[in-house]
Amino acid sequence: MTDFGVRCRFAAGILMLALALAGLGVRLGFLHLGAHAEVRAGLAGPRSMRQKIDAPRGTIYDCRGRRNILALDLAAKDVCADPRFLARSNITQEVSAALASELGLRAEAVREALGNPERRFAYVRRYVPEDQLVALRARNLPGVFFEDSTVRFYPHLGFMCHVLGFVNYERTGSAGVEQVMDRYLRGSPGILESQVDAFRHELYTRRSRDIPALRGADVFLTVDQNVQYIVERELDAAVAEHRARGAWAIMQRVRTGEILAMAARPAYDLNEFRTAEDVCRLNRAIGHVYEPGSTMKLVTFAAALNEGTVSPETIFDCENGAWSHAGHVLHDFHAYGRLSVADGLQKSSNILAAKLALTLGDRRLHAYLDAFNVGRPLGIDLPGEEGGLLLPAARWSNVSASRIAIGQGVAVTALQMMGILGAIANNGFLMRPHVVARVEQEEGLPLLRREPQAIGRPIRPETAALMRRLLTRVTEEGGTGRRARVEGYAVAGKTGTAQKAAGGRYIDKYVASFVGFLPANDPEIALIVVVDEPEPEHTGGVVAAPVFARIAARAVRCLDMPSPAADKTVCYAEPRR
Amino acid sequence: MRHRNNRRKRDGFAFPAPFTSLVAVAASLGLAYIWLSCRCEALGRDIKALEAEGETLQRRLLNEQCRWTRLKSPENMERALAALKIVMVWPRREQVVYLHEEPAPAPESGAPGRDALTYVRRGRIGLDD
Repeated sequence: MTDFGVRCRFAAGILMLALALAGLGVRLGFLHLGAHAEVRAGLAGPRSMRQKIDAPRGTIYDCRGRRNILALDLAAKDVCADPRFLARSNITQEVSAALASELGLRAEAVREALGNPERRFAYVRRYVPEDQLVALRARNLPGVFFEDSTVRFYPHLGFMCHVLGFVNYERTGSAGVEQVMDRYLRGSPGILESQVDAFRHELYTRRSRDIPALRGADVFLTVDQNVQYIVERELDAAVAEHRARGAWAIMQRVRTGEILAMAARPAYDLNEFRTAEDVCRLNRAIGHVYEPGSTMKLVTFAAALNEGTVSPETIFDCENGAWSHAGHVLHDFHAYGRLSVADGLQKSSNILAAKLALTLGDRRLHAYLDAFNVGRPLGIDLPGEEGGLLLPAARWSNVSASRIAIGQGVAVTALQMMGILGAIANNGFLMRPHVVARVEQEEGLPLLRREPQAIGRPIRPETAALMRRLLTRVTEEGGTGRRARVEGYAVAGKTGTAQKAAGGRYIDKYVASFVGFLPANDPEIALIVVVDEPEPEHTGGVVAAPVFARIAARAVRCLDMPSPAADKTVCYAEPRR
Repeated sequence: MRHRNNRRKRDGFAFPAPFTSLVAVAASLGLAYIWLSCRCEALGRDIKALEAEGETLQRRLLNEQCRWTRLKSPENMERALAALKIVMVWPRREQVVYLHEEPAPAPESGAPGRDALTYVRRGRIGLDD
């Protein structure tokens, strides 16, 4: 071949190669620079990942700080299975039986969940705490696997259930403190954007956005775990002893309105809230209104003394137990002749209380009921609080005042009755009750701190002091609340026995209650105990007062309350070494 | 023309020094880049592993906290005491000795020093009654 021919072929080769490279270059340029967004997205899509990081929910503690956990997010597992694999391996029956026995499920339900051989995935049971899966893991069942998850867990099961509430499947607080404090507890989710390899493993170096989740804030309650336990245990005992339909109790610090304990029966397991009946979920302490009976005499006596229509020494004729007024006969539980106002309160005379109400008149009695917040919610930081029932004075009949004075024709919640007594114990100040003390972030940054808040002052401090002295006599010999006495402490309080109404008339069923505070001369705590339909005994003095005494006797130790009978504190200081 | 070609053949082909240096620097940079890239990948894997381990430990911590909370709940304590046949009663207030920690006085105050622990007790302590 001639030299020219070689050169031509070489030039042609170079030209072809250059053209090919130029073509590839142009194509590459089009792909990278051209408007092929869908192509690029198609390539980038499978390689990229965007993951929402769930924020851990805050923890709920009792009043003693981070020692006592009441609710927390717990690492859990979802137990899953591959029905197709089980069907092809012909082991569905055996695996179902094993899963049922290990997880405490019905074998038929597990078989049903795994019965579709077309599916590759099925939940057997969700949110199982890891420590409950040790035995199941050890069996190493084929076709069964576990997925990480987080569950809201309540370590004490049904303990404090009506206060704590629960979180639903969407991780939203749906009752109690979980609902009210949801915006603090929830936290803020994070985002992770990155690329993955062929095995869908994240390439850390390609991580483009990493916003960590902000953990929810922690909520600290005013409730004391130990006192709450005492209250719940005694309520259980009272329900069993008196074959009651239900029972509820609240303990409050009178000067601040802090709720130290709040419990109601029947209760339910917070971890199994889905299976709980509505009647069990109801927080009767704040959501159930009842005619209070004689405990309402607190308002009547306080109003009359505050208005000066009577004094403790004023004598009334109690008509030997039956008094006809406006065509209706009012009875006393025991027949009395002439009683002073002080004795009338001690013995809980209905007739005397009704006559006191008449000295006030409808408008003034209604004004005091209104001032004590009867008929309106107190505004506790829990959902579902009822306001009670109180008709306007203009709609009262001739006998309304005399009946409302003894707690008939008016309905309150236990929390409202506690508020009335709390005002008497707290020099006339009606405090807003609260269960949340503060909210803090994990590192201690405070987000919310609840301060004591006075709603009003329905009576003067002198009247409150006088009422405290009169109420102390209720638990002394001759009073209706003798069984509420606590060794070493003077107790002031009032019994209540209310007949229940049904179908427009009163029936032979009762609500027994006792509301009191101690120490009587320098009140620290107030407590109300209500027992619904106790049998066979049904009076507040016999049914509720002993429960009050048992709770208070242990609570004063837990709360380290000084007894007026005890000696003064002596301090010994040692010199610095 | 022929004379010049012959001289080239005689001296042999040699890269110019600046070009050689450029290639060497480029190669060094390339190797350094590869090494750094590998190092970053390795660190990324380590970080991922540590993140996973951190999550695992956090889960374990939560589980242990939960278990501990249940163990020291009043109900469980009472059950444990009953199982061990231990009868306990609450002490009377006068039987309790309180230890209060007080802050040390400021040095410039000139106040007489006091022990950080001040013993506060109630009169007529009857610890053995």
